[in-house]
Order: sequence, then C-alpha cells, then structure tokens
Amino acid sequence: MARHPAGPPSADERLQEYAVLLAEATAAVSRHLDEVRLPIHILLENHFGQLNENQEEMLASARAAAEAAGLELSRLREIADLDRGALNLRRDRVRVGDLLQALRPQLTADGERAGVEVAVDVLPGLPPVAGDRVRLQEAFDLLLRHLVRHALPGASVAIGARQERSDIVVDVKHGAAPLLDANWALGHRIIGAHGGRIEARDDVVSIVLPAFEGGLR
Amino acid sequence: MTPLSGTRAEPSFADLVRTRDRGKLKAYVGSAAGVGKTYRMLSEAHALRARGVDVVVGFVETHGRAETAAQVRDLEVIPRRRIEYRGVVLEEMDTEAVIARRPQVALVDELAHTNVPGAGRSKRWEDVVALLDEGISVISAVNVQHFESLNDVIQETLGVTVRETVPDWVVGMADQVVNLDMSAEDLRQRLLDGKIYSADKIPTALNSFFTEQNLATLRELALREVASSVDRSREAIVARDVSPGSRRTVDRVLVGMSSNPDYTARLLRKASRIAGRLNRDWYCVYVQTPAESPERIDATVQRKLVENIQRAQAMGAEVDKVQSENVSGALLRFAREKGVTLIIVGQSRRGWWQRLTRQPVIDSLVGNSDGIDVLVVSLEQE
Repeated sequence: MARHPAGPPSADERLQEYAVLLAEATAAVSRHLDEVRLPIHILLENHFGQLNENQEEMLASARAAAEAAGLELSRLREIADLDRGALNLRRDRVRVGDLLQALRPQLTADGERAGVEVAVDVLPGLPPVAGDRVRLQEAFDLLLRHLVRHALPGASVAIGARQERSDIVVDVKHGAAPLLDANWALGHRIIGAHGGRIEARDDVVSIVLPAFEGGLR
Repeated sequence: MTPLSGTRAEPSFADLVRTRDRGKLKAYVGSAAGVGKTYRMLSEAHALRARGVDVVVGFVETHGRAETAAQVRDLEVIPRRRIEYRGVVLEEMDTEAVIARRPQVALVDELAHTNVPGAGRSKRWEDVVALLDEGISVISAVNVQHFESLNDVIQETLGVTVRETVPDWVVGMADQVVNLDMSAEDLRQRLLDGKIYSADKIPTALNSFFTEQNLATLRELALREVASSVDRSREAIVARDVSPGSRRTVDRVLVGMSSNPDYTARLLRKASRIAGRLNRDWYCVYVQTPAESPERIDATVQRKLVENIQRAQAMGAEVDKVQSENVSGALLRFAREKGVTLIIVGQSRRGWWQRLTRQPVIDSLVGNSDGIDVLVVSLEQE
C-alpha cells in the first residue's frame, strides 16, 4: 500500500493519489470477482457432471457478465497504471497498416451490427512507428471500434492511414464523435504514452503517431 | 523449364526465431475440432528441434486422442500449473514457468481458451501475448468459430453460441497462418471413428455441431480468414521487400501441382475459385523431380500432366515448371521470387491421416514458409 503524503497535496500529487487508489481498488475487486468466477467456471467445466441446457445457459451468462465486469476493471487499472507511470511499454517497429489490417474483420462486423459501412484503406509502404505492438493494437481496437460502434446508422465510415511530415496519421471520417468512457480514455492514454495525440475536427477524428526515428525512407 | 535465378538464401522459421527480439507467432487455423491442428503443431515441433531449435510444449490438449498423445513423444513438456479449489484440481499452462525456461519456441494449444479465474491472465491468448513480449516464439492453434468477429455469424447460421472467443487482431498479428481444410465427410468419419471425441459424445456432436451444413459453413469461414490474412501480409511484404526505385509484385497465389493426376484437376478448380475470390493472380507450379524426368515418367501420367497444365492455363493460371529434387524448397523459392503470399497444396482423402502425417513435402512447406500463408485443402468431392 502506498504511503500517504503529509500536508496539503498538489494537483499532481492528488492525481497520483487517485491513480494509486484506483489501481489498488480495481485489483482488490478483481480478486473478489475471481472468487465469483471460479465456482461458475468449475461448474461449466462439468467437474460435477453434465448440466442441463438451462443450467448451462444461466451459468454461462453469469460467467460472461463476470468477465465483462473484470474487463472493465482491468481497463480502469490500466488507466491508473498509465497515469502513475507504472506500465512498461516496449519499443518495437510497428506498421500501422498491420494494426489496421488485423482489425479489419472486427470493424466490419461491428459496422454490420451498427448498420454502418466501414472501409479501410492504407497506403502501402508507410514508415513504421515506434511502440509497443500489443498496446498500440489495443489502443486502435478501443478507439476505432468506439468510433464505428457509435456512428450514426447508415453512415459510411472511412478509415485511412497516411504520412504527414514525420507523423503517421490515421483518419476516421464520418465515425462517431468521441464519447468519454473507459475504452476511449484508455485508448487515448496509450496513444499519448507513445508520443502521439488524437485530434477531432468536423467529422474527422485523427490518431497521430510519430514515425519511427530513422524509419523514413 | 523455367530456371530460377538470383534466388537468395531462404530464411526459415528456425532462423527467424533466432534473430528477432519479439517472438514470432504462427497460427494453425482450422474449420473445426479434429482437422489435425494439434498433431501438425507437434510434428512441426519435432522438425524444429531436429534443426537445433529449443522448443517446448507450453500447453497441448490431446483431448484423449491417441494419435495426438503419441505425437508428443519426447518433447519437453512444461509442467502445468495446478490450481486447487475446495478439492477440485484444475490445470492451466504455467506461463511464468515457460518464461523462466526461456525456450526459443513454445507450443500453446487452444488460443481461445478461458483460463481458470485467479490463474493470472483471463485468456490463453493473453498468455501467448506475454510469451511473445518476452521474445519467445509461439506456435498456436484455433478454430475459426472462436474468432470474435464471427460470433454473430456463427450464432445466426449455426445456431451455436460460442462462448470462448479470441480477438481477430491476435490471429491478425500472426507472422504466418496455416489453414487446415478437411471435407465435412472426412471430418464426420473421423468423428465416427472416435478420433475426435469420446464415444459418449459422438451422437450429440454428429447431430448438433458436426452436421454437413455446419461444417460446410465453417470451411467457408476459414477460407475467408485466409483471404484476410493474405491482405494482412501484403503491407508487410511490400514494406520489407521493396527496394528503393523498384516495386515487387506481391499478393499472388501459388498452387503446387504434383505429377499425380488423380486429384490435380480438383485442386485446380479449388485454387481457381480461391484466387478468384481473393481477386489475385495465380501461379501453378509443377516441380519435376529426377524421377519424373521425360525419359523416366510413365506415359499415361505424362499425358495427364500435360492435360492438367493446359487446364490450369485455361483457368487463368501462369504455369511454370521447375526442376528440383527438393519440391518444397523449389516451391518456396518460386513463391518468394514472385511475391506470393498464399501457397495452396492439396491432400487426398485416401489414407488421409497417413498422408497428413507422412507427407514430407507438406510438412517441409509448412515448417519453412515463414511470411507466406499456407492452405492445405482437402481434395474430397464437394
């Protein structure tokens, strides 16, 4: 447990304190949640014999709800960890095109569910960015899926990547306006932790990441 | 004959795992349980070890299948982590033990598996990501119904709720995808033979998940995944291989044609449809071994070979003949020369299991085709 500072805290200290408390609280609640999930998991794995269809469905729903709650907590914990500088990031050469291609099926499926058409277009040969491949993929997953899921039904969301000077820019046209929730907040922070930023103007949201140093051809 | 010139030394999966900081991921994707993913992973592990690669079994689930269990043989298996809860013992991969052991390659089965709560990470794919982060390369396997983006489709078309899913991007970041295809008939036969599930589960499986229609749908979905992974690899290959001032042609499909004419026509029809679906140019390559030289080849086989070459040309393929003793090596050299991102090879039904397990050409192709996806198609009547 972190030591509480003496005297009136500054704004930065207060933010650090919130981050530490949030990280510790989410970790504690996650452990309690595991105690709920564990017996459900054991029952679903048929350690005590086969379940009937209704029993299985009910338990599966309970497990799915517990997993969803666990995921929310883990996002809050990651936000807190990023805010207190406790999350280590790798520095790989990452191609934004790879990140977008890997997300394409999910974005298309999300679009179909939301009644939105999604097009992904990546210029070939873009230089890489420097960063943690998995964390950046997570950020793109959170941010782009957020913009697609909340887009107006019937919209045509166009996602494209391009180079602008020493930056790689991913533009999302006709997507939703960013709404504050844990997904967006975490995605935003991960981009920020990589030296990037998110810009919103008119109906375009842009994710901007610095190109890998020396990676420009 | 079309001689190959200017070929460079081929980087094998074994070479790549020695040189990269971040682990490489190879994913075996199947249309359903029982197509041979785990068996194939284990075969590849033996081949890697024979080439001096330090490979361990992180977690392999044999599902009580004798053939699969036997294939583990003398591979090093990292003991599983045991979690006890009120007298019930559960087992999971001991990811931290794998990391501490620091192998070059770890086999991790069932990418979509949900871990025991409290065992660390929630999902097995998160364990795989942790291994990759530690610089350990991973060979893993997943069935197509577990892809998160397909959850709705599976529910609507198969009426099955799949509870364990894996984000598409996890498979999307694989450096190589191997897709194992099998006809519905073969798969149902394997199920009936008790090679997939225990006897008490067979009737339910045959009438619920393993119906002809469901399996046909799943094969189609698996094929779509091939298309997706081909798209994914295009950008990486352009970036990796384009030298200043030049632009290599990439994004092509190669079909390996054997001199055995029995199934070649069917393979060509399948390949033509796949290439058409992917909107790609395609090559049909016949590797002539010394035993198939004009003076030694059987006249009937030679005649049918010529017919198949003409058939491939009529279907729009560019047909090339290469002479080599090493069929898989020649196919891979050709593929890399021409910027091919997907290789399609066939396997016939007759003695399917024996063919799968004793086909050095397919084994070698799958084991050495880093950066190129492989589709092993079943050549059953559709």
